[in-house]
Amino acid sequence: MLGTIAAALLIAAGPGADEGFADWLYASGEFSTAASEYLRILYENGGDTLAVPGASLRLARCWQELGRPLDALGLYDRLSIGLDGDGGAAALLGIGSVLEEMDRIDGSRAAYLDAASRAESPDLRDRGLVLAALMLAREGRWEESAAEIGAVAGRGGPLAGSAPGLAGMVASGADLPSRSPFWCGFASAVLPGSGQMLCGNVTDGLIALGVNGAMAFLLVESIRREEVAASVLTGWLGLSFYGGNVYGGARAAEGYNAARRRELLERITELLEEVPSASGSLP
Amino acid sequence: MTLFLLLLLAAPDTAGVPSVPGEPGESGIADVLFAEYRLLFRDLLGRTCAFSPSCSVYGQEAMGTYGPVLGTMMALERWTRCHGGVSDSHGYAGRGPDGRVPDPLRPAGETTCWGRSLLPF
Repeated sequence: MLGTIAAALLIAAGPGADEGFADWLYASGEFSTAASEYLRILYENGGDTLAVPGASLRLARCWQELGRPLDALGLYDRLSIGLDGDGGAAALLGIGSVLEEMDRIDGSRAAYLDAASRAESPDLRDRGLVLAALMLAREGRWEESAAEIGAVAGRGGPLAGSAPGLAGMVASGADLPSRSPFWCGFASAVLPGSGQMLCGNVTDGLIALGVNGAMAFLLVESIRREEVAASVLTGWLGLSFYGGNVYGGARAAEGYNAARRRELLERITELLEEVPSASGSLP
Repeated sequence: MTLFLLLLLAAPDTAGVPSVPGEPGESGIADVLFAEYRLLFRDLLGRTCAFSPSCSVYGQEAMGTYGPVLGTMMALERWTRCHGGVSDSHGYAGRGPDGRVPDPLRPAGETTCWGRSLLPF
């Protein structure tokens, strides 16, 4: 169906309109179909990615969106080597984003910084600098990250309007509420379920307290009645529940910390989504 | 007991067989017990777990990875967390498309990619 519409539009629009249609598919989020269109455009240009850099960049982005990071990385890499100025800088930003997705934060920051140094337009330069600064935040270096973003705001570039708010939000990462896995595990060891409750998981804590209390009661009762098999079974089960409860206290703290961090990262992402689209001329 | 055996005989061929891709296969006694647990609670009694992967799969993985002692503790800990009150406020990352709360044995890293938000193309 989409292919028929594409063919009809191309016939109606005439030659030269195909990249516009591919861009429309790309903007609509139809990355699979857009990638096919960009590949066709590349084929028509003799497979030379540097001859149609805009289509090549978007093809790499399509692959990235379609979960083919290595293909995207290869194409971005080729473009970053072959293109000068803003084209190469845009490809380096793409490399940084793929490495970021692959959790290669050091490599990602290096690519973003490289993009910033190569960019000719202030907009691309600021994007590279802000993203490089955000990689520090990914590593928990909130204050350093905020300082670098603040420096971007001080330059007065295209992102100067968004940067102060972003810097403030990143700086708040240093004050995120946290719970110590060790102390929550210790608390659960002293009073079963208390570590979970300290992390806000009251139901989990009450269940852990109840189960451990019940197991202790059954163990004492079976020992008092001198029932060896029942004592061994309840002893083994009780110890397992108790160990699980201590582990659960520590795990609840880790979950609590991860959740607070995740919430902040999501707020930062929302703020980044509000940054105006790139201005200036990309290939 | 007789009724239970009849139920086992009447169970479909797929009973007890892990239906979720990536679920561990059966190899040892513990794995067979976990499969029996799934057969009884999931297939025959229709019980559903609040988490993904389910508690039995989680326990099976924990025992396979950390051995029977630590694995049992982790399995029982997960079992005590599996109740109707599981909500997003517990520190879990929302709910999956199947409505269950993702809680793998080894949590995945952060999936945030800020680079995509600021790509100029």
